[in-house]
Parts: sequence; C-alpha cells; structure tokens
Amino acid sequence: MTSIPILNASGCLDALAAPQVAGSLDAFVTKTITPLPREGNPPVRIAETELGMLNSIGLQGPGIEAFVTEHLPRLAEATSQLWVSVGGFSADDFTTCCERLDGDDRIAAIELNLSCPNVEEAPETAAQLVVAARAATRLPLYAKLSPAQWDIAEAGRAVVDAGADGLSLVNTIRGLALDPATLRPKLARGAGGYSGPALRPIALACVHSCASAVDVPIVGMGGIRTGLDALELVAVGASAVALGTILFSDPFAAVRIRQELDAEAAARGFATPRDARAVVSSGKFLEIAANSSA
Amino acid sequence: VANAEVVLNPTLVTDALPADPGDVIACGPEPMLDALEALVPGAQLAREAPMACGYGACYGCVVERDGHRVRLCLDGPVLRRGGTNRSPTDPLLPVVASQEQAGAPARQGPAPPAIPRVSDSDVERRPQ
Repeated sequence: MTSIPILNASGCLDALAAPQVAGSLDAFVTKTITPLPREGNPPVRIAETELGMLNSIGLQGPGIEAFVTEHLPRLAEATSQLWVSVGGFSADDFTTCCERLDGDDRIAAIELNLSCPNVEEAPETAAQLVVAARAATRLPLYAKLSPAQWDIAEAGRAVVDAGADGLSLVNTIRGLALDPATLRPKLARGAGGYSGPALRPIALACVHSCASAVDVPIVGMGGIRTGLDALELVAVGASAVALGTILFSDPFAAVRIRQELDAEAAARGFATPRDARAVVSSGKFLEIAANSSA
Repeated sequence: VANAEVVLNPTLVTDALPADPGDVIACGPEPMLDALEALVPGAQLAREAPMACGYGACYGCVVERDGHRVRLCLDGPVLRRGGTNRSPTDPLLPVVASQEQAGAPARQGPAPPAIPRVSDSDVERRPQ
C-alpha cells in the first residue's frame, strides 16, 4: 500500500461490476445508500462540459435493507477495505442507516453524504446529522461536505465537534449546462453536480482551510487526474485522496496516479508522499525548495 | 434556396409502416421511437442517453421504461416494452454467464436482463 491511500469517490465505481478496478484502490467507497429504495431523478442525468461533467442521479439505489442483505456480503468479499456512504433527508434517515450498519466489522468506515447537490436537503444542519449518526454507530464516521459554502473550515469544525472522525472533501458543486441550440438546460432537473478538473482548485482551497482548522484525517478529492494533482491535495493537508470523474475515462487511473505520486514526491525531495502532507501551511515546502536549489 | 426543387416529401415513419409490419427495429429521434412503440408495442428500439461509466455504476444513462428508470448500458441500448425485469434500484449485476453454465444455483432476486435480439420469436414480441 502506498503511504497515501487512494480511494474512489462515492458513486463513481461499482466494485461488483468492476472488481479489478476496485482492487486497484486501497479502499472502496459505495454509492450512497438511503433508508428506502429510490429510483432517483428523471433523465437526462449527465451532461459534459468543457472542463468536466454534470450529474443529477438523485441517489438511485436499493435502500439500506437490500444493501445489507444482498450487496454487503459480496462487496466485503470483493474489496480489501469497504467504506459505506449513507445519505438521507433527515436526521432520522442517518440514524436508520448507521444503526443498521453498526457493529459490522466488514465495514471500515461510514461516509456521511451531507452534501448531495441533487436532492432535497435535510432540514437539520450537517452537524446535527453527524450527531444523529454518531449516536447510532461506533464505526468511524467521515463527513462529506459541500464546497459551496462561505467558510468550510467552520463547517469542518462543527461536524468534528459533533463527532465526525474525519472529513471527505469535497462533494460536487452545483452547476448548470444549456443546450446551445435550444438554450434549455441539458439536465432534466436543471442544475446538477459539477465535477472534474474545474473542481480541483476549489477542492484544494477547501482542504487547505479545513486542514488548519481541525486535526482529523481528510480524504481529498475533486478533479484529480495525475499524481501531481494528488500530491497537491496532500500538500494542503489531505491524508488520503479519492478519484471520481477520472474513473469514467480511465478506470485504472489509480495504478498510474500511485506511481506518479511517488515520483512527484521524490522529485521534490520527499522520502514518501506522506512527508509532503500539509507542507503548504507548515512552510516546510519552501525550505525544501530552497535546499534543493542550493 | 432560390429555384430549388423539393425532391423529398417528408413522410412519417409511422405513416409508411404497413398494417402488419412484422419485426420492427429502429434507431433515430426519440419522438419517432415513441410513436413507433405506440404503434408496434413489440418494436425493438435503440435508445440513446449521455453515459459516464458505461458499465452500470454511475446510473447516468437511465431512461424511463415501463414506469421505471433503467440503465441503457446494462439493459439497453436496444429496449422493447416489457423486455427487462431488472430491478431499477438494484445495482447488482447478473452472475457471469460461465458460472450459470457451470450449473451454479440460480441467484436469488431479480433475473439478469432479457437481451432483445433481432431473431426474437413471436412469443417474445407479444406485447405484455
């Protein structure tokens, strides 16, 4: 295993459909599970943009009960480390899902999808949802936050105070694309979640803000395409990285990115990529650059 | 265009269709496919949708089908009314064919998708 774990972003990979791809990752994160089965949003759900894509899936899935009885056993067998993403529309929904998963030692962590841009928001704050999840399980909880907030460090502090063990940064950001001929929105619901290369500077800023505000592990994600992209997220404070949109065009990107990450770190004088963690805020990076040029 | 002669009479496919068209397979604009299906419920129609992953993971390429949202990458791209029995909310793929052939016990739950073929029999073409 590399010193910086590489995961998939929730919803961008199915470990049962593509077990070899899942095997190229250090951990697999499921698509978000909700208490009840959901058919999701009406089509059209996908639109390409110049610098990425929009999606509006709307949490289509089998519901927690079918997930636990039918999918979980097979996922546990197919993956080396299993993270389950859960979501919902109220604190009760998070309680229901987390209670159902609690105590299952096949699950390494629960990621709380507090920030799906394509469904109605829960009335509670992110911190209140984390409190509900925390009360329902002792499994490690990662809070996945939206980049679309003025002070994400404040949100990070709030969910950590509420009991989150780590942060997943960031979810997609809401975006809109129009059909050039008709000027109608390409997606049936209008706006969708924007991901891909354009999200990367936003993710860097969010991870950077949160890393100096809280002392918990951060899974950095948003537009990673290369090892250098991953190293930059590590440099602002990520302790792991996740791949999303890139998996659609390059399913085995993790293999390449892991090699590139090691090489890019070594080229900058770091023994391992982990040694580059948070150098941006520590200032260590500047010293290293100065040393290497001397 | 000045002095141009119209040599093409726009004709609806549904107007050109004989009374008993037999097997109908089609690709083209969605309104045409919908009109064909209304006329020939057993028609096999190649649908299109923007697709991200292409293997069932992302749920991007769904179309409305018999009141459900099914993924074109798994259940299509050729669809026929009543032609799929996969649960739209079940991300499980069918067991691989080799296991089935080896006599492995049938899986619980939804069966693999019925893949429509041009050579489908009359029984399979019958509207449900």
